[in-house]
Amino acid sequence: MASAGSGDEKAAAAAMITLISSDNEKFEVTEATATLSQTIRHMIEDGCTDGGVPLPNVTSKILARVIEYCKKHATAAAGEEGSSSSFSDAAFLEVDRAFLEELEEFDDAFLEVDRATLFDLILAANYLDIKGLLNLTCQKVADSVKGKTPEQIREMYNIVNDLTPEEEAEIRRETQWAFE
Amino acid sequence: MCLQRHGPPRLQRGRGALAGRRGDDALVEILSRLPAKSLCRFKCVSTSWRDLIADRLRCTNLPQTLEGFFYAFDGDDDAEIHGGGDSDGDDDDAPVVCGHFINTLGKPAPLASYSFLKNVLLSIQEFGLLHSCNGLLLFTLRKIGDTYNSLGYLVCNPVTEQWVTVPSSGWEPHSLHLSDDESEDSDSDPDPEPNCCFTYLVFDPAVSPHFQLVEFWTDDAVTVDEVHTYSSETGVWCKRTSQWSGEAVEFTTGGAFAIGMLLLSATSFVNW
Repeated sequence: MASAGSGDEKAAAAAMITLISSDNEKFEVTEATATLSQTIRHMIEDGCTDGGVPLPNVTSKILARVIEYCKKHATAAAGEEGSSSSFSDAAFLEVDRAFLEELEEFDDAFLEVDRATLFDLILAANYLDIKGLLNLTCQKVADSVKGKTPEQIREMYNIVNDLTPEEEAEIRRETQWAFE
Repeated sequence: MCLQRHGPPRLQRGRGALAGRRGDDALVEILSRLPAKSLCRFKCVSTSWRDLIADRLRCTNLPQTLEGFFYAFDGDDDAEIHGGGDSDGDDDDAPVVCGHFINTLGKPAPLASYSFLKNVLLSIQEFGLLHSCNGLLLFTLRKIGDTYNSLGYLVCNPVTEQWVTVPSSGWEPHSLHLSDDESEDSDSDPDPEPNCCFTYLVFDPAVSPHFQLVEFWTDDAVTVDEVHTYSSETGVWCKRTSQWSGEAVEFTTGGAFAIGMLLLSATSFVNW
């Protein structure tokens, strides 16, 4: 796709950033990809990225997924910018819609991971301050727990109930409507 | 290290479990995307969930921002009173609603947030928004065509979608008696001052899960003749002796419930 290509070229011309995972694996990414992370964006602005960016809280497995997400979304963002000036409104809308659909499909597929990976992605998105990824992953978990009972939540996430029976009764009495 | 300066300092590497303190930041992010009902239920999961939901989440992630406001009107404008006439095309059967919700962007939502009430009301009823207090809304209920709350009240919580009806206190406009009982000699009667009834909802969830209604009966819209109160705990109306005969209360300016008191403005001092 022409617009995606122009995005890539633009990015290629920009500086590359090296991200280093907790298990010491190095990932070369474009600045456009890296700056989807507000945390890294601030570091770039402060000129703190020479010699690579150590991310002691993120494993290589999770970082690879995070970069996959950022690449896709950075490309989409660059493609939208590039196309807005060169297409007529109708064509632009068409491209825009195609981008959004493609992005949605990507996001859906991206979320097809086990529960532990999903939670690691949330931690990474929170740590790296990547709004879109954080929203995507948190919403996925929120949707999956929404209709559950406290007992089901404890089971799903291996949580020990450390409330005394009195405390639990108190909560249920306070907000009885929520349990009906 | 630059990273420590910018990154959220408390977040440690998680191991795929929502338990424990290390994932608190992430957990708050997830919980803040849940509806109120799930949140209240999940206080029962564990002490850390309870504390997060009760304290941190409510204070930091669920700020009490103004989403919009309800407003009431008397329903004279036919075009506007069919609240909830948004989609289903069964407007003819829907109860007539006098009241609107307007969000902070200025967009009126035709009572969308309490459209659930449509299902619980009979089609012969009208209900009008009257008052609100600490998250509860008070509606009058009347038969279509009636000019007063002939069917009592309805109190609802638009968040939990819980509602209860309150029977009428027995207040009626004088004009009813005239037409029903004294119709023979009503021609010669000079038109009396219309009597009114002003109703306030009193509710403080920090003090009690029960609400109260206070009705002021007046013959001239300023002088209190009788006070009637209703408690959702007892479910009955009680007549209270009025101590305020002669005081002119300005009901039309509205009242406010604050610091445990119902505050009304009056032209002479009212100790209430």
